[in-house]
Amino acid sequence: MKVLYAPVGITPTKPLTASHLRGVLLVDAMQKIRSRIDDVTVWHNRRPWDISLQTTQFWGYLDTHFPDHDYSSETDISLGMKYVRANAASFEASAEMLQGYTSGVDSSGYLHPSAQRMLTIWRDVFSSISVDPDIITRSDAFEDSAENVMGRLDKLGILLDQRGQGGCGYIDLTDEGLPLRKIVDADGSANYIVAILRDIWMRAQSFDKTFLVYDSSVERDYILLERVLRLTGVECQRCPFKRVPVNGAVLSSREGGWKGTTAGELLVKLREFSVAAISLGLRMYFLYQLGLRNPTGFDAAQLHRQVEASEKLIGELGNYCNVEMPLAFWQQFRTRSDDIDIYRVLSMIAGKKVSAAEKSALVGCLI
Amino acid sequence: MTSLQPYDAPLARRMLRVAEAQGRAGSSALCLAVVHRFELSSYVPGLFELLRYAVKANMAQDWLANFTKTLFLTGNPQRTWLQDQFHASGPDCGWMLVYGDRDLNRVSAKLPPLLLGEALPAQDSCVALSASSLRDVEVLAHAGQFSFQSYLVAITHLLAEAFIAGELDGVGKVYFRWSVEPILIASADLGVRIAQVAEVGVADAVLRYR
Repeated sequence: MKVLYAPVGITPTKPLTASHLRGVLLVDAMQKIRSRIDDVTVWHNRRPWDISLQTTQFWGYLDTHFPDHDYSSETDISLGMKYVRANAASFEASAEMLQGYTSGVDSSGYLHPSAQRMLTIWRDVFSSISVDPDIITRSDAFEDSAENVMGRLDKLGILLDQRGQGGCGYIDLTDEGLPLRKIVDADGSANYIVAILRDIWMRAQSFDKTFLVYDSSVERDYILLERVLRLTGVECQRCPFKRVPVNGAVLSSREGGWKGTTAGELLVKLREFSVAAISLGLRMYFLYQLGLRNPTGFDAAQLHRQVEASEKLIGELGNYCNVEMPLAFWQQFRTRSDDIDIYRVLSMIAGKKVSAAEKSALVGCLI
Repeated sequence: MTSLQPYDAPLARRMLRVAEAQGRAGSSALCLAVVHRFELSSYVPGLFELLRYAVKANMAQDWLANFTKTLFLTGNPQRTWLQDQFHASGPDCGWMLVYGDRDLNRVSAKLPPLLLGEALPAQDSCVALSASSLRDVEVLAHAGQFSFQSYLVAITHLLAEAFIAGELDGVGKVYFRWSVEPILIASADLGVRIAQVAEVGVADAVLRYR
């Protein structure tokens, strides 16, 4: 079975937060376990997120307030703070400026120097936690044009197009109980839903199943995407995950509140441990201890203890990398809804009545 | 002997909605217009259909007080979930009266406000109402004074008021024209319908007999 995972992206405007880590680790774990059963592709293209208004507005802010700035010495925190200030100032770049960025991203994968710097920092983080950096940093040309996407939506009878009258373009699935969703603005600029459809709609046709992995704050849009894909015969399933509350609140990165809990800062606090222990400990903490459905608040001390326990477990397991298990072992993690039960995988690693061979196989697969 | 007609479910539901509207006369109502494409040729007949069948004489004051505060929404009136809720509808625009927040939310939770550009309808549009014309009327608007949105409100107000007052009985055609100059209200225009008085003796839009 050919399976496609299409995870939601992260705009290169801020440091990786606890919630981002959780999402990235979830996709990584799903892919690694599922690869033991099926032919898996994780398709993550930066371009829909680089072209988004959230990103291009920030680039406009930087180029307006810091022209000719050298970003090579910026940290993820200093860039993230600029992003918070840009949003607090409600900065709006000119239409020409935004158009310049979007056409650059669309045609040649343009990346603002601030984003290049941020991606370099992210790659370092991923390399430190056993995640393939390509999972989040590659940028490929869109498979399709925005007009083709609009044309297909029209053929399906779900496009409400008022562009000819100076209005907007909408996906109309109101008969299915979903609100009308604007996808193209009156000025002709398409939003991230169009970008995602340009990126994965055609691609998904050649897979037996597509999993949309996203954080639940964009649930409505992903329900919409799932319905659109299904209308053209794409077998599709949604995999939402919830953000991690920090200091009792789930804030958007643009509001700040992430200082002290960014991925880079957490890794510094854990530098006494091995890469393997950190990799396993982060997965055990973010995907198991916090709970998958409704994560409890982030607690640095608990994370530290989890990594410490992981270091001990890895020491006990010894050579965990070379343990092979039969297909039936991996298939037990497939749920009735054809998802992968990551919580069960991790609970086996934490379990007391699980054999060392089984634990070794799971740990070796994940990290 | 009267022959039985086949049961027409949409018609029956529409009649029920009309009966409800009449039965609730006097309560606070809101008029919703769900617009897909704005074409005067379907917009005006739809408005008149609503006024003819859903707004009876005893509701006229309500209409003038409340219903003309029409809420314009973006949507496709051909969608199944909407069709039975309209008191009047065409391919491009549907009309309904709603009572209270619950009714309103059921529709407005799914449909955003109408947001069309500033392009106004073409000059000298004409909508035919009746072949046996006794007289024609025109809606004249000062082009510089209107956005699309305010134009929509002005013509809805003018036409609805005139319709309820019976001033459009026997009218064959409604002409929509633009004036590049401010519209002076001359003594010969007494009795015209006026929307948006700009200053004494000057109007932004008028409805008058041709």
